[in-house]
Order: sequence, then structure tokens, then C-alpha cells
Amino acid sequence: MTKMNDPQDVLGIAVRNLLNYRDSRGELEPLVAKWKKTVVIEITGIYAVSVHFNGTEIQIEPGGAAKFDLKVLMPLEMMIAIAKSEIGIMHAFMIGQLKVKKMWHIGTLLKFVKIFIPALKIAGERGVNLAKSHRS
Amino acid sequence: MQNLTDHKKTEIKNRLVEIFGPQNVTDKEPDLYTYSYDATECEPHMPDFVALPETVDQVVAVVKLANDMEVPLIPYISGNNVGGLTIPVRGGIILDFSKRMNKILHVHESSMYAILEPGVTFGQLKKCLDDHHPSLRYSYPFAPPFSGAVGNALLSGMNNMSSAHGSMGDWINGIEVVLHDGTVARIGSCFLGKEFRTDNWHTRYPMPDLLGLFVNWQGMTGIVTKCAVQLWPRRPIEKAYVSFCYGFENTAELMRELGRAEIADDVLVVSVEVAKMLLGIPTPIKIPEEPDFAMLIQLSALTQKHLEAKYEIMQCILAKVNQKHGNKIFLTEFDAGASIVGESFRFAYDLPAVVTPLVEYSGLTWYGSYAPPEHLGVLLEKGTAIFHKYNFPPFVYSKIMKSGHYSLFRPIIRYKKDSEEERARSALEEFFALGVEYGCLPYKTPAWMCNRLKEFIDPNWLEFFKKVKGFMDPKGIFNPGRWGI
Repeated sequence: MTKMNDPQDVLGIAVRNLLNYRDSRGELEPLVAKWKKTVVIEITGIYAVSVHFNGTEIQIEPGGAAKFDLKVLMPLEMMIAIAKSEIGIMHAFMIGQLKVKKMWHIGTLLKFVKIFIPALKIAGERGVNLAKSHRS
Repeated sequence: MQNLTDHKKTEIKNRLVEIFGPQNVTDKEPDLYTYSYDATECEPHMPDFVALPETVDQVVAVVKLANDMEVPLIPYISGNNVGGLTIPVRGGIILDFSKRMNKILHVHESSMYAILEPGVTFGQLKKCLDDHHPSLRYSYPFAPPFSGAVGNALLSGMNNMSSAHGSMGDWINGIEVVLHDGTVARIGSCFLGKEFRTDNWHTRYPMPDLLGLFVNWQGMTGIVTKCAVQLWPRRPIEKAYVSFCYGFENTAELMRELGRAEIADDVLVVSVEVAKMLLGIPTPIKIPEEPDFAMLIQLSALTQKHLEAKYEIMQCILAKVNQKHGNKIFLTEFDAGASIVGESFRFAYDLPAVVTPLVEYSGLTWYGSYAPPEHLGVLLEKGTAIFHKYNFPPFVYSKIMKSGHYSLFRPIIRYKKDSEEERARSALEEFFALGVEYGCLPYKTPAWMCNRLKEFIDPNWLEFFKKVKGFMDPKGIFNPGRWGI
């Protein structure tokens, strides 16, 4: 299991929640064990959070860190569409709905995609189940 | 009833025991204590007796007794009304309907109503409909399942279909009520026929609407023993959306426009701090980058195309508001959004429900009001500022009502009873003043607030109100002290 702080802002809580989905399945620790990077996630028009991966210690804080290894920007509805598998990340990128800064850090980008996209998809599936359980 | 002699008290107890049986009457202090207070700032007061009615005949008998002996009668269901409305300010007899007079007497499928005894809870009604009448639905509050459905309707509460269909007082088709002299009157279309039937409670019109003598009177004019509430067809598709809103006037405008479009069952906003409370932060502090409000929009539809059409209309309205005010409102669907942010939001699907932030503190109070929609923006803004002034986390809860005819403005204060009550009371006073300035009408109003309200209302209304009260309750036995009289 990793060690994460308790962010106090809505987006920070969301990021922690997403990472927890993977952590609770034991999938996060092997991915981040030797990883020391800062990734900024910005939801367009809303705000940004910075995720500092320091091995199994993960710090999430509001605001875009000035020094980052990767910055990912997307609108809220795009995040939901990816979560629901309505659009793939390549497609989102191609149509300009998903933007990446410092994309040349290709290893960081691939690792982040490996961590974050499955977490989003877990949330998407849980959302579908939530809706089904409500209607059943 | 403070000056009740021991002799008189014994006589009352004996007669209560005759009416209800010894096991359904108590005057023991530990039993009485739980009926003496609620979560609000309203002063506690002990009742003298608690009785558990089961039949209309028992209610008739106790009303006659109360009239004979001039003893107050206070109707009670769960006591969580957040307005001190069942605190027996002059002592007397609490009639607790929740234990034995709590049957759903009939659900009329084709005319879509349910006849309820006064103690029926939201949880009971929901279970009954879900299990036995799945084509029908009622409307539920952000309140525990053990809250009373009849009390909520008689006090014009608002639930999760009120954006479409208005306050719950509008949903009452008829009542059966015991008047001060023990007369049992049926009001609404159920007045047809000499005896109670289950098939004639379909409307309150077009006869003179005597329901107005009982709705919103806080139990001051009679004891309601049956109440027929409207049900609505359950639509096969239900879908919720959530939006994050920066700004006040644009948020209010979106609510108004969604109301007027008549596409949503419910449109409500809460301060973003409330969303954070739900995510497990008891005393949240908003960071500047965070949105001001979270808005929940609930749609229902007959077909997928129906839903898509509603969604399209909603998006058009949002685009228009965002175009006018800058792109400051972000909409997404609730299910996936809740799973990303935190599934504790799912209670919004499972109403009635215990809403954790409302029960985390020993004290809970609010300024609940129905407000002119045109002032909603300024109310949201100034209401939030009052929270900051008094150092409480903002907890504004607002809703568009009845397709935009009016709105709900309800700042809620959670506080520590032992150390923060004075501050809470001062904040409430300020919310009240703000409400008066912008034409808000307080509902489920505590007595102290009613007294303040008297300074601002038509004195002829007050005189007329007192005359009606005098006519309906000449000896002042029904829940005295309410509405400040």
C-alpha cells in the first residue's frame, strides 16, 4: 500500500479517490515504488492539482506546481468520457481535448497513463453500477 | 400548564390511562425528557405527559379532555423538524403518533394518492411504494427515513421533486382532522359520503379550500388523523447530473432557467463546502480556486429519446448562461462524477437518508425560507458572506421550486450546543434580516423568528390570523406558542 496525504480540496480528494481504487487492489505500489515525479492535472476552467510521486509516498496538493515533469489538461466532460470508455485517450489527444505539456518526457507520460487511466475506468464502471443499483 | 396542581395532574393522568391504556401513557421524567428539546437553539421545555394514540376515537377523547382541562396538546412524529415546533413550551400532553398511529391506509393506483396516518414515515412510504406500487413514486427529503411524511406535508416542506411540483403542502389532497370540540371533519373531495372511504381522496378542489386552516399552522388548529398525499408516475429512466459553479448570479440564473424549462424533477445547489463535508471533511475551508457551489439536477424520462431531448435543452440553457457570464459552470453526469470524487454522494439517490453533515454536531438550525427567484443570486452571495462573518463553514442549500415560481433559500448552521449557540443565534438573526430585505418567507419557523416577523408583516393579516386561531381553538390547547401567539 502507498501512503497518501489527505487533500482538503475537491479535485485533490478526487485524485486521491482515483488512486485509492488502484491502491486497494494492490496495483499502485508496484507502479510507483521507484518513481519520483511531479504530475500536474488540470481540469480546464476549474483548477489544477499537483501529484508528487515520491516512491510509495504520494503527496497531492491544490494548484499547479511550478516545477513539474508532466502536465495533463482536459475538460471535466472529457475526464468523464474517458472514464466511461466513450473515448480513448489517443482520440481525445488527437482532437485537442486532452493536452499534455512536456510530452517529450515519454516515460513519465506512459507511466502516468498506466496509473491514471485504469483508475478512471474503474470509477467509470463503478458509476455504471451505481446507476444500475439505483434503478434495480 | 406550569401551575398544574397535583390533584389536577392526577386526574388528567387517570383520564389519559382510561383513553390510551396504562402502557401508552407516561409522566416519568426520563420518558418525557426526549420530547423536551430538539437540535435547534429553541429553549427546551418538559411536557407533562406523553401519550401514544392508535385510533381516531382516542384522539377525539384526548382533544375533549384537553379542552375540558385546558391542557396543551402537541402532535409529535419524530421531532427532527429543525424549528422547535414540537417543544411543549407550555407543557401539556405530547401525542406521539410515530409508535402506533402509523399505517398506510390505502394507495390508490389510478388516482395516484396515498392515505396516511400521521405517524407514517418517509422510509415506510418509500418501502411500501417500491415493494407494492412500483409504478408510483413520492418525493423525499434530505432527512432520515424515520422523519414524518405527514408533518412534512402539513408544514410545506420541500423534497426531491419540488423543483417540478412545488412544496409538499401543494401535494395534499385532503385530511381528516379532529377539531377542538372533538368533531371529526374530512376536508377535500373525501367529504363526499357520511363515512370514511378510501376511494374519494383524489382532489382538494373545487370546494372552498378549508385545508388552508391546517396547512402551515404547525398543529395550532386541530389534530390531523389522516392525510392523503399525491403520488406521481415513476418514469422508467432517471438520471442525475452535477455541475460545479463559480459565481452567484450565474448559478441563480441557471437554476431559474432550468426551473422554467420544466425539464427537471429537482434542481438544487449547495455550497461547495457541503460537498466537502460529504467527502469526510467535517469543517471544510474552501480554497480560492474551488467552485462556489455544486448543483444537482435530477431528470426523469419516459424513453431514452425523451431523456436526450431534456439533456439537449439543459445543455442549451447552460451554454446561454455561460455565454452571458463567462464559462463558469461545468456540467457532468452524476454517476461517473460521484465515483471519481467520492461515492458518499450516492445518498442523493437513496433519499430519504441520514445526511452525515447534518448529524455531526450537537446543534443544528437553519433559516429555511421560500424566496423570490429574482433575488436568489444576491441571497446566495450575501448568505455565504454571513457564514464567513460568524466563522461557520458555509452551508447554503437552495432549490428552484415549482418550475421557477419561487425558490428555496436555506442557510444551515451546525454548531456545538455548549459553546457556539450564541454565535449561531446571532448568525440566524442576520440571515433573518437578509431574508426580510429580499422578500423571503420563513417556513417551519421557530416562535422567536415569528415574533420578529410580526414587525414586518401586514398588521391586518396578524389580526385575522389571531381571529381564526381563536375560532379554531378557543381555549388555546393546540400546540400553544407557535407562530408567536
